[in-house]
Amino acid sequence: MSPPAEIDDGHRIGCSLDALLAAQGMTLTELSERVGVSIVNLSILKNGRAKAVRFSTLTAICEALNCDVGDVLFLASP
Amino acid sequence: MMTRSDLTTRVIEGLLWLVAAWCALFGLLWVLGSHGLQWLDAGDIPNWLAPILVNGPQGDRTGIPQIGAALNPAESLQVGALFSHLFPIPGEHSPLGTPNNWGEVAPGGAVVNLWGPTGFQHHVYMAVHVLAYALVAVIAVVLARMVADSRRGSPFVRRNVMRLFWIGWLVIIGTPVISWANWACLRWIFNSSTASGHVARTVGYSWESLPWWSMLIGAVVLILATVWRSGVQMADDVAGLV
Repeated sequence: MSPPAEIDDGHRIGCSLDALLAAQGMTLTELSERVGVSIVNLSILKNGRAKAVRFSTLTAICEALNCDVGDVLFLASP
Repeated sequence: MMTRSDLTTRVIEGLLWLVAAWCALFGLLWVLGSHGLQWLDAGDIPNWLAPILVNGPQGDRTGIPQIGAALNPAESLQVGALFSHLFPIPGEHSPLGTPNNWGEVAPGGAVVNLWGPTGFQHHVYMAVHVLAYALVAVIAVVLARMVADSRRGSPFVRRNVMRLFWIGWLVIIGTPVISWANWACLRWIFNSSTASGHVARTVGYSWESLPWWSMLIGAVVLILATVWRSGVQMADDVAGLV
């Protein structure tokens, strides 16, 4: 699980993409091909450096990984 | 391969550097003046530039402080006489033959040519004009760098916002200061000349004399900087959008 990269950025949203990919045995490249989002952008999301996520991106990730939004994103403790 | 957009920005950048070089050349001409150019054996340069000089070869080189002045009505007849009387007298510093430290008033005109200011007065007069050229040159160089940076990456960066703010404030504050300094310098030279009081008096600096159009452009640049800052914030947001 990747915590928010900068806690001072005004949010505490983290991303569990790393753990989900490992659990599914999927690489970032494969996910990129399935959801139609560039590896660079998925890497930004995975490393907690994203400032915002499109609903369409979230939908595609959830469909590709067969999970819910809450499995991808989480609220880190302060 | 160079795209059309690249070519356009390169042309704009080149033109801005040309403006800066132009200002440097004219600043140098002002510093050297007629005597300096003759000393360098380059006295013909203003004549070569004559076709592209707005005020002709005489108006764009150092040496003839010129001030708008109110003519003394009681002396108006003498003004005409003065001009025609002094015209043929050979003088050291005036091509028209007027003696040193004397104002030359065109009959019926409201412009006084001041001949023979002291060396210090002359240097201050030159400095004011060179300052104006320097202001334009600095703005041109900053704009050229902005264009160059924009070609290499996104133009919406904080550095460009700061550049635009600097340009805006430089124009808004710099142009009226230079305008007033030029008038103050000329009044100083005029008041110390023998023309003062006899045939003419200086006209005060008025609101109409302020470079309103330049200041308006400065204000527009400041507004552009504010809009640019919003653009930078939007670009930052998009940069983190997945």
